[in-house]
Amino acid sequence: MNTMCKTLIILLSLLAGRAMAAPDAAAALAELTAKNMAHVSSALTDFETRLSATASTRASHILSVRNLAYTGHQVSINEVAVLQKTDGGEIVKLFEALCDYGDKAALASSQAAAAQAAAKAEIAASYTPLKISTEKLDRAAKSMASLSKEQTDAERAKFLVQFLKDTRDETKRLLEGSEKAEKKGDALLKDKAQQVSATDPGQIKK
Amino acid sequence: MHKLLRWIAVGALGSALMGCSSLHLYDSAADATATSAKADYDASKITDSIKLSRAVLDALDAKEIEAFRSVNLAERNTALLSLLSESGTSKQRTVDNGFVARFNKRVDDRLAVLIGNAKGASQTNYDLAAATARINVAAVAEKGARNALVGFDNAFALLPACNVDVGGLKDSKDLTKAAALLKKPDLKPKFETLTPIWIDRIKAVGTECTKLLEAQGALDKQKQELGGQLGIAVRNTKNQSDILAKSKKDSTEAAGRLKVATKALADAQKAAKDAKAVEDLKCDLTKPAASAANADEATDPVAKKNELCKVLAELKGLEDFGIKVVSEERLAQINAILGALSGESPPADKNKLEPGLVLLSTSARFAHAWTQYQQAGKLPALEPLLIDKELTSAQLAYARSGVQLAESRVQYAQAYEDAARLEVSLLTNAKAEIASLGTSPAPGTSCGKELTSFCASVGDLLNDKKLAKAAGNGGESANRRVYRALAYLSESYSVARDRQLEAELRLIDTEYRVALSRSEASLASWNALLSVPVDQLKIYHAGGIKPAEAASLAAQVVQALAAVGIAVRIK
Repeated sequence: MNTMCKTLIILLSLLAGRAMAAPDAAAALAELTAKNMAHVSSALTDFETRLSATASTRASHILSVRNLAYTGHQVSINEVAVLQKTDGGEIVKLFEALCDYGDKAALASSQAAAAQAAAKAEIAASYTPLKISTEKLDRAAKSMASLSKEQTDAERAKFLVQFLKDTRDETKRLLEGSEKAEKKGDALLKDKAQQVSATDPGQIKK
Repeated sequence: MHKLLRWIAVGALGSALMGCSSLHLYDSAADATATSAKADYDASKITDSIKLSRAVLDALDAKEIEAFRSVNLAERNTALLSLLSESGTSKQRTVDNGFVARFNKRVDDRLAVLIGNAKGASQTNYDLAAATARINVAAVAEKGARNALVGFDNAFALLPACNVDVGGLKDSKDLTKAAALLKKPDLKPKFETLTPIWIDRIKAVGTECTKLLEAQGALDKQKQELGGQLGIAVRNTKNQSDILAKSKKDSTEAAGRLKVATKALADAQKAAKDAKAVEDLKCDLTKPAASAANADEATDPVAKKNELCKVLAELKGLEDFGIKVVSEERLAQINAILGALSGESPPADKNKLEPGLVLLSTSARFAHAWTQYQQAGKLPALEPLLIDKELTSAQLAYARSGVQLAESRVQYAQAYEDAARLEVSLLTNAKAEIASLGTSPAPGTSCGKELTSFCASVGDLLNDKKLAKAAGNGGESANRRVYRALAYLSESYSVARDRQLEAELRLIDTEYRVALSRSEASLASWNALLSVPVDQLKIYHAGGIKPAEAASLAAQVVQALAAVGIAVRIK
């Protein structure tokens, strides 16, 4: 009986040892994944914060430019009202005709551009080869491969750690590039908005 | 003996149990947590935030264009009203107060901004138009010469677009130059007697192409001398085009070198004896590659590795263009290895996988791919290859979008330049209409009692019976000339300045698109990577040995022991 007990204890401890080894690997993987998820979560938050800041800056430029436009249009409307009340009907008619001429020229120009773009797209569509996306197939294959015993847990973990390290380095570079481009866009847009404000469309110079 | 058998059985069972890699005790709490984590991860749909961001950018872009367009129209309206309304003055009226002077001043001020010098605007516009016309004529002639050649053999349709090499065909004495350009060494007519006629036509293409290049060069020279906003726009377009052309050229050349260097390293590794082969093929692209002084030695794997690392570092320096080349090559090689792993490729093709394995080995995560293959004939495992494929595809997608944005920059810069040129053209046309009314007196000349064209308001010029119908140069009446001039001015705002604004805003927007594309690539990479352990942890915790299965296992162990007679001793 003593021997039997000893044997079972040895076997069960082996079993337990094996059973514990896997949770260690799983726990390590879970820890690593949690850390990286936290990293991605903060990157995503950072991205959204930056996007909101940019959207807010751009929206404020849009508002100031629209205000400028509103003031400019209001000045014209007021001047037209004055002209109409002071025998300037002919001038108003001429003004409207010239605006109409410009608007029609713009419409014709945009229609021509749209027609050209449509023709280009049609031609491109006729010779663009069929594009087959293998993304879903690859994902399915990846899921199946993770179930296979081709790699041990240790090998798999080693690969994942290296993948995660490489991805961290690469995404750091990408996010830095993203921020730089965004700042450049903000600066250029600010300059443009200031340049337009300087032209002062709300003044009739006689 | 029994004791020995017992220990052998214990060892065998132990080993068997250890062989079950997924064997662990089931934990319902861990299973629920992993399932919940997987559900939360799936629900987070991190790439969806990018799609939303794209929609936000589109909306902002459209609203910006709308707002700036509205300011431009407001400017047009105030400009027109300024000219149409009478100029009020308490002083003695001079020609400066007349419509003609005020119109010319407004147009000249704008032309000075556009080309730096309003006085020469008309001549500049004429010269640019004449140079453009010469290009069009030369292009038609060149096309005609090409068509004549294609009539002899369809192969001539593949002749590259007009460039210095095509221009060089004018000196052809035989078919060699044309054959080289067409990459068709056996180029010749069916009948030998036709050869001199072919050569004549080939020379004609070269001559017409040279004329076209000269015409383009003349226009470029003129454009480079322009001042003002148009000059800046011209130089910006050229700068952007040169950057794009250089990036394309450099990346195409580096792509060729990448293939050569990869194959050279694979060959050198195979040819070298074990002691000389390089075990660690990974390249550290954050540091300059070591000198490739021995690269000519075909058998020196170290030199070949340095050469390959140098090309990869060069490609990395080319940013999106280089990343596109590396990603395309890596993806093609991964697909080839995946094909071989699936057993679809015949074994004979496996030699073709060697450059791919070398390329993979240059990255830390596959650093041993080549060694494993060379020493044990083992290809990398399927799962990491598929993850790498997904990551590489994400990189390729953002690199392609970066290249596309670089092309867009050139298009928008060109659109801005064209629109600025259109404005110069419209304004000089408008000035020409007004100039047809006659030569303006010197500035400050007082207006007499009799109304003249130069002291008149626009109302007088359009409606005064005498002034309106007076025929200027070219025979057209003054009112028509004035109306047309104002219409040109209106169009210069509604069309030309509107196009400039749109091109400028789209150019700025490309910076935001670059930022989005980088963030998208970053999140797509993480998504590809994090989904793997999340899925694995869910599967892992859903499995495991449950209590009932553990009891059954214990019973099986006792049976196994009995089978080898250990139980006999107990009895």
